[in-house]
Amino acid sequence: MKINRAVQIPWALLVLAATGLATLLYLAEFYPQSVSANLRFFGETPPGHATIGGTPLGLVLGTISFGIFIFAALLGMRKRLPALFPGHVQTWLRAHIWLTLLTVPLILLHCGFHLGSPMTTLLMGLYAVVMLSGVYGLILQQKLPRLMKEQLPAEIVYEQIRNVRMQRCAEAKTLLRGYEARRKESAPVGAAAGSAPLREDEAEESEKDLASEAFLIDFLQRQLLPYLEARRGKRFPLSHVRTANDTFHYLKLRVAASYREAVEAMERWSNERRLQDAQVKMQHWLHGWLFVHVPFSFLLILLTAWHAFVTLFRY
Amino acid sequence: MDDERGSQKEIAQRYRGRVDYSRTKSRARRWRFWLSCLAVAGGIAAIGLVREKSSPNFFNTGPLSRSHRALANNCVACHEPESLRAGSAGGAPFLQVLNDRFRNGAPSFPRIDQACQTCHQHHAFHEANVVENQSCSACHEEHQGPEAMRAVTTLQCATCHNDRALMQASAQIGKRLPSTQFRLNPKVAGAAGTHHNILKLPRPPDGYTVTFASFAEGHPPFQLQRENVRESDVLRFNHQRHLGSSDIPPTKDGKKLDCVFCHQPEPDGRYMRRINFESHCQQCHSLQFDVKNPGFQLPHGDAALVRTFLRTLPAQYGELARREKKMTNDGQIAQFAGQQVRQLLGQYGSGAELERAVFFATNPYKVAAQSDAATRARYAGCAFCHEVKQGSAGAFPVPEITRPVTIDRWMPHASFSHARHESVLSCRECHVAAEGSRLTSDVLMPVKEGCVICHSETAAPLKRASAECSTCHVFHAPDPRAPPGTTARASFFPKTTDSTGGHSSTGGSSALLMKWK
Repeated sequence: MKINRAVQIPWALLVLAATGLATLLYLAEFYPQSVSANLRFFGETPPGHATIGGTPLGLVLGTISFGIFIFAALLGMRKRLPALFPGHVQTWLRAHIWLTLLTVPLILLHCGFHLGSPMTTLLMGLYAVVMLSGVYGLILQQKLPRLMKEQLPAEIVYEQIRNVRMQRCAEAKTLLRGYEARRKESAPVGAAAGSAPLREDEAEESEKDLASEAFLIDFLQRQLLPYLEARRGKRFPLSHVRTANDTFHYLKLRVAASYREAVEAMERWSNERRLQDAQVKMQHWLHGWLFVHVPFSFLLILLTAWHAFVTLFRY
Repeated sequence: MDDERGSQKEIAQRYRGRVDYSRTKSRARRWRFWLSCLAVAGGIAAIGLVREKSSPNFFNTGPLSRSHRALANNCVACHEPESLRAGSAGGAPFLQVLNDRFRNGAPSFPRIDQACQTCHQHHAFHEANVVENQSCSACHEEHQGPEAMRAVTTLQCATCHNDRALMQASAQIGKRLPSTQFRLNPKVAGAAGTHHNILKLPRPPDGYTVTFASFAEGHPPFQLQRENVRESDVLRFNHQRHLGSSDIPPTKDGKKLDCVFCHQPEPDGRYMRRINFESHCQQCHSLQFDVKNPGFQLPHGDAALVRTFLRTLPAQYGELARREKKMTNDGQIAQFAGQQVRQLLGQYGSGAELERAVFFATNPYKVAAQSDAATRARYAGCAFCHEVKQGSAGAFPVPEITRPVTIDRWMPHASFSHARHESVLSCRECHVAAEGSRLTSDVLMPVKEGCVICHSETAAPLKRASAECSTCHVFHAPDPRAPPGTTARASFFPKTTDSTGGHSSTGGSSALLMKWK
């Protein structure tokens, strides 16, 4: 989701206003001398600043933050079960981002800028991981799509990459099988009984073709097919642009002119495979952070609920 | 559509064989789902593990304070054993928790409060007219570090004392309570056994319920100042003359008379010792009434004894002859005594006149103006300092000298330490009226405006001193059920030792209810 759009401004203003209000209430509650107006709405006795989380205002801030955590976790449900949740996914995603950003000041005020016990320190660590991974993902989602558009002109649907790669493999294997069949047919050419002998120029051309095909068979078997079939192509020489260019250039010079079209097709498959690898890599960057963000978010919610239970009801 | 991506047909051709890809779950999503399940399951397992195996320190926000260090490994001394098993079922009812947190502003910890009182005995929570008591933990926060427990802040006091409705309610409660419910705190008024004279002004009709935010902002003037209290003591003393007059001779060791010559601190340095004649006055105000015999001095402190002394002068001179002249011959002693008595009678005319001069003379300096410094202020006459009245009791009435009562604690609602102030302030900086005071009735205590110069958040940085309420006041009142002089095993208030070495507690001081108006 791009954030530099006018539609984000109300959300940004909401977060700023809520942060300002929370800060004002915090100052009025715990540093009343710094606020001229009497804005103390919660309770009567603020204990010392180290346990702000336990004061009425601290509890309100903590409860709001926990509510936002729950709401943020519902985004996945909203995507899978759209009938159950009203509103566009875009709106949900905006709310997810902006409201979770709002939890940063709310939680800092809730804990009074202290880490507290090992339990709350652990929670803060988890929270930091979740927020940092989320912000990292948000930044990637701002940058990577443009980069992909620039660097991957023939971008294909991610889920189809394997399918397309297999199609290319099949085409390469077909080509290979054709060359191999022709080679088998032409092997006993000179010795066949009753056959008319070739003219000298024809024989020479036939030899060139056989040599080209032998060369291409070797190339297909040893370099191109393993590259196209591999799950990850990075360790193959053809994955490097310069090596691939040199290889195909040499190939074109080495084979007969009639095989150059086939070589160009191979070059296209190789380039396509390289771009697919680049797309997979970017796709992993684009979504890899979710492997940290999502599980840690659920863990954070679980442990926050435990924290609330223990501190409210046990101590 | 980019040319390089091809036409729709080409794209469709490219994706042939797997056109239903959108209906299948991606491997990444499946992984994320199972990882999330694993995280939640791991979290639940960790909670169970912590509940069973981990020490309560996992929830401990910090070490205990210095005072409670001995309880560091004994959590159950304060906490319920069940609560120490994190995540255990039960606990306070949900609504009660919400009520405590949102209405009272702090949790109630009945178990912990009771635990506090097993050691901290013999104190009431606050003044008897408090509207609503709160948990000990609302003010005294533990687990904040190994240093001393953080002092209660003005802000915490102001939550009630700056709440008009609460203070009005408190005033109403106070009006219904007998005055005996309000007892001076021994920590500020002085411990029992020390017999301090305490100025106890009548409690204002509304009690001490004026609302204010801090000492600098809104704290009412001290009651002494507010009610323009005058000292009614009968002992005449002129501070201006003693501190500033040029005709006051230096002391015997050549020093100029100053505040500390008379006002000397008690051993703990907090308050001043009571001034007494022998230590502070007699060096200049001698009891020598016979100019020729410096060692022949009147007794002090008992008018009847003085008169008996005067009526047995021959015997007293005989004793002087034995003690100072080292005479042993009775004839010589009688001769010396008779000679001295005759000389005195020659000076005063008669024994009755001598008695009158001793008791009622008020201007002795004319007599001894030419004497040396050590004997210059010869006996001035009782009435020079004291209120002396003609006696009325018995056939031979003794003149009545009103016994002076010097106040040891002028502001018993606030504690003070001279020792904390003397290194940075001179006496005159706080007791500003002393130098100009000519009357005994002048009360020379500091006024609030003088204290605020330093005890304020806005004071100049080099002068700024603590302005918290607890700097001067004590929140907890003495236990009204405890009989005066009770000593607790572990009293809330620090034990003090009087001069006899005995422990003391509240109730032993001689409180004075002085009516000034």
